[in-house]
Amino acid sequence: MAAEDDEQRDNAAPTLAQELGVDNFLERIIYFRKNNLYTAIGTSFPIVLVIEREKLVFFAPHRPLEYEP
Amino acid sequence: MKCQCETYLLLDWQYCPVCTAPVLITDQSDELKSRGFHRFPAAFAPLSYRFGKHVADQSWFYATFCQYVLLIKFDPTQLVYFRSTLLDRYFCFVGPNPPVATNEAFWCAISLVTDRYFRRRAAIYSWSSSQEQQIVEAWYDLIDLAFLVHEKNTVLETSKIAEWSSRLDEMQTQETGPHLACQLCESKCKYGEDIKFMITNDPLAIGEARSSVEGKSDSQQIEQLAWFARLWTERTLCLYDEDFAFCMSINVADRLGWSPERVHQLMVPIRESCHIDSCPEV
Repeated sequence: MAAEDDEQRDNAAPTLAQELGVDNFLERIIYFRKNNLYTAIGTSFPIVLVIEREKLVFFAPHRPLEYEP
Repeated sequence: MKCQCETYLLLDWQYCPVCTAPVLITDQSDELKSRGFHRFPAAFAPLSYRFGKHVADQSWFYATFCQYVLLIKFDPTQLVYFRSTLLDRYFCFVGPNPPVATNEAFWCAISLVTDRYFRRRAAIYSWSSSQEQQIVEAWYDLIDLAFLVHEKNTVLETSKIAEWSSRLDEMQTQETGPHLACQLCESKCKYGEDIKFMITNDPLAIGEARSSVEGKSDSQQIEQLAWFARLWTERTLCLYDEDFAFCMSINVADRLGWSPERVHQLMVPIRESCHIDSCPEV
């Protein structure tokens, strides 16, 4: 995969997780895309992109970390 | 948690409602030495420390942590996937809306249980303090990424996690195991301590094992023991490992009160029954 694609995909992951409702309490997101897995738990821990079981990309937060009911 | 006047207190109460005494924070001096403290000091603030310590003191949390380390040995990506299980169990215990930040109290709990786990390992396997320090620091480097947020994105190769697991396995290698039957095990002693703890703290599993072997002949008991070990192995690791299942069988037999001589006598058929082809269909 080209470096540009990699960068685009990595930048998209937090947005994607946000779109899928990561900030719902305890909600877990597992999203398959091009053999990769995006996973996130609530907003307390880093969002992680698992690339073909060989690399884990831990994302910096893009919003407040704690869920507020 | 109890007050001096024997009143039950909730974790977030500052004062006892009966005798009005302030709720004392447990002495934190030992825990402040935790390596987790230096990575996230806010997690060791009094209230989150009180929650974190309460969770870390539960045997089920320690058992879940043992499972976490075991799973990572077989699948490094469990470093992130198993977070949800740990968190689910944390919330089952503290309730859905605890008055502390989740990431703080949880980091405190995971740090305390990490320290306890490796301290125990160091004592059992006679590690030097520098060996212990190295393996613990390397472990913190991994969970730091999984549980703490950082300002920059970070990439971790799963081979690094596998390297850490191999190093831990090497440090746990022994010539002999704690049981006579361990002579048939080829993984001495990667699983013994974790399995012993998990079995001891799972009365339901032991009850299930007891009811499945009671009143049966020797050969049926061995088959049932292997069947139970297979179920438990797959439930714990999400895959099958023969040495793990054998270790499980030996530990369950021990908990069921089988004498060491009897287990020694039956170890060959038990081992054969743990072989995947000879296990009865689940």
